[in-house]
Amino acid sequence: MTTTTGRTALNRPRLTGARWAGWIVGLLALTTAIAMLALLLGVTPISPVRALTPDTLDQTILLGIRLPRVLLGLMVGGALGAAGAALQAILRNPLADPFVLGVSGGAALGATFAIVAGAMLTMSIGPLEISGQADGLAGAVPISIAAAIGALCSTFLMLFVARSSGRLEPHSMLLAGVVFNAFAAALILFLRTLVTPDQAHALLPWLVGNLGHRSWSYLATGAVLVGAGTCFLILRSSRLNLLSVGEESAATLGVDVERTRLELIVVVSMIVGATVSLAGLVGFVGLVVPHMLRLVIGPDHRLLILASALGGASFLVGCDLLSRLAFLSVGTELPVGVVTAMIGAPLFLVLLRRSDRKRH
Amino acid sequence: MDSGEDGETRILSAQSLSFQWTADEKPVVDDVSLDVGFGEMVGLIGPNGAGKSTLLRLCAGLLTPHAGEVRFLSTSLAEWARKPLAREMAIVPQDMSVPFAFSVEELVLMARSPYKGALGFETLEDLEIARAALEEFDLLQISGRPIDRVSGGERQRAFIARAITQQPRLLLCDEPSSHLDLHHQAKLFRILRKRIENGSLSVLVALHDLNLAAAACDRIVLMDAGQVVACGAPIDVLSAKTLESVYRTRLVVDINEATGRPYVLTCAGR
Repeated sequence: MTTTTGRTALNRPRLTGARWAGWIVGLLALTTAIAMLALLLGVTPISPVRALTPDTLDQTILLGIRLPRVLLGLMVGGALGAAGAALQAILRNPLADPFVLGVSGGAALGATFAIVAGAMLTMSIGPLEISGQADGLAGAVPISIAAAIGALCSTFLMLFVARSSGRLEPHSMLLAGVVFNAFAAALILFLRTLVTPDQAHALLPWLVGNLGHRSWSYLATGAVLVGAGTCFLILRSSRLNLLSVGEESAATLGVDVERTRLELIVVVSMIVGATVSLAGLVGFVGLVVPHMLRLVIGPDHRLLILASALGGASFLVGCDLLSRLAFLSVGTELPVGVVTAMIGAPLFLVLLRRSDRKRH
Repeated sequence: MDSGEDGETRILSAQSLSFQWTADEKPVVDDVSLDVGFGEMVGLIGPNGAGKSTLLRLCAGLLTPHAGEVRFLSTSLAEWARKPLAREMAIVPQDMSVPFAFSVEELVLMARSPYKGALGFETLEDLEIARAALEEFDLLQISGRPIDRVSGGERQRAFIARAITQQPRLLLCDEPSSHLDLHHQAKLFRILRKRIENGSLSVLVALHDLNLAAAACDRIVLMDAGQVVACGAPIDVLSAKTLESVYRTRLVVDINEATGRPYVLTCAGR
């Protein structure tokens, strides 16, 4: 069944060290360029020259507002890109995405639960300052952990539902994710009614993915979790190649499938939990970025995981820049989760239709 | 015939294997014993649902038997770690669906991963081994093509080339010729026989094509309903009486003058 339509995709060269380095350097350059733009552009454009002078307004904006925001975007986007690519390989489902499968929803539920529990605890024991934003190192660690546990629980639930007679059904997986997301949203809204209106209001922007202000200590916690997790995925990328072809095939090529898959699922859940506690529910980054990259660089995970991390970082920072600039005249800005959903959701439907056509 | 270090003549030996999916169901493999000698090709035949694939998966350690034991190179399969096992044993699977567009060459090169570290790129030696296998199975022309853009037969040859690139001492094949044309069927078994004659390979192969099994295998194991019905040289196992009772259909069995082996014809449509 040789078709002429895919002529360009035919005879893609094998991945070599030189090609690997070329792509990584290129993507690094792209990420740096977008990050520089995001630092300099915004409601108040910054002059790079003045920003280097101490005690200017430009420098305050750059270091106090823009830099943490861009770093947050790089971190969250990179983590979601790498996690999405890994999840697709583990589940052998090109449509897998942490958001669509309900992994992020589980993380949000876990985090909300921790915040609400914390808020109720303070209300009962006295004015111990815990805001709904849950900022500061004291809040960051327990909330990231709660989010990771929530992500892990929802992943296992999804796997349990989608597994019939030893096989994972790709479409049951998606359905389980959608239903779980609806369930998690309902529970989150319920939990919000348990706290004061002020605290409830503070929970809202965080549930629609956004790159709002986070303290340096919060960013540092996230960077450690996300960085360690992504490094682990990169180290496992050769095994991800084998797993993506099939579990039995991977086993006969020397992979301890049960153990490797469990490790990977725990790490992906940890990464997704960390991103949700950092930036809320940012959807579709893990779907859009690995898909686009696979078209140009091929499916070899030894390049794809790191490339998806870099691509995801530039994609999310780019989307955030777009959301800040596009609504400049109206004097408001769109949460970045809205932008990624606007790009990702239609693409998801196109891919779903294409995968259906392949099956029948 | 070559033999192991301790005078063992069997590379693989399965003793009284039983396997069932659920406790209340009938066993899919029921008290089966089977040996594969060094430098031997053993054919596994039998009707649909006879338990051939399950037996192969038990022998590969992909399923754990509920009773009995598989010994491979004189060690119980349960004691083998997957990575060293992958350097000694390869499998050509029946399921060849690949959800991502790896190229034929990339798929074949995956066979070298049991020999590599975590992130390693292929060495020149790996590339040479894979290239030889691609050439042997006429895949060199399409080596850069995505696996979802090649024909069923080409994909099957890619999976066989992958197993060969793994450089195993034992090859387990589940219907390796189901999508192959006559030329490539004959070629596949010629390639396998060549490696068997020089003592570097032993093969356990499940086949529906009784004539291929008769022509290529040293011994044939006939299974039905999870049990071994007959086992021995092709000429002994492939008798019209035995086969007709197992396959429940009228058959003609005669000797192929060219090979000296039996052949089997159905009376389909009659």
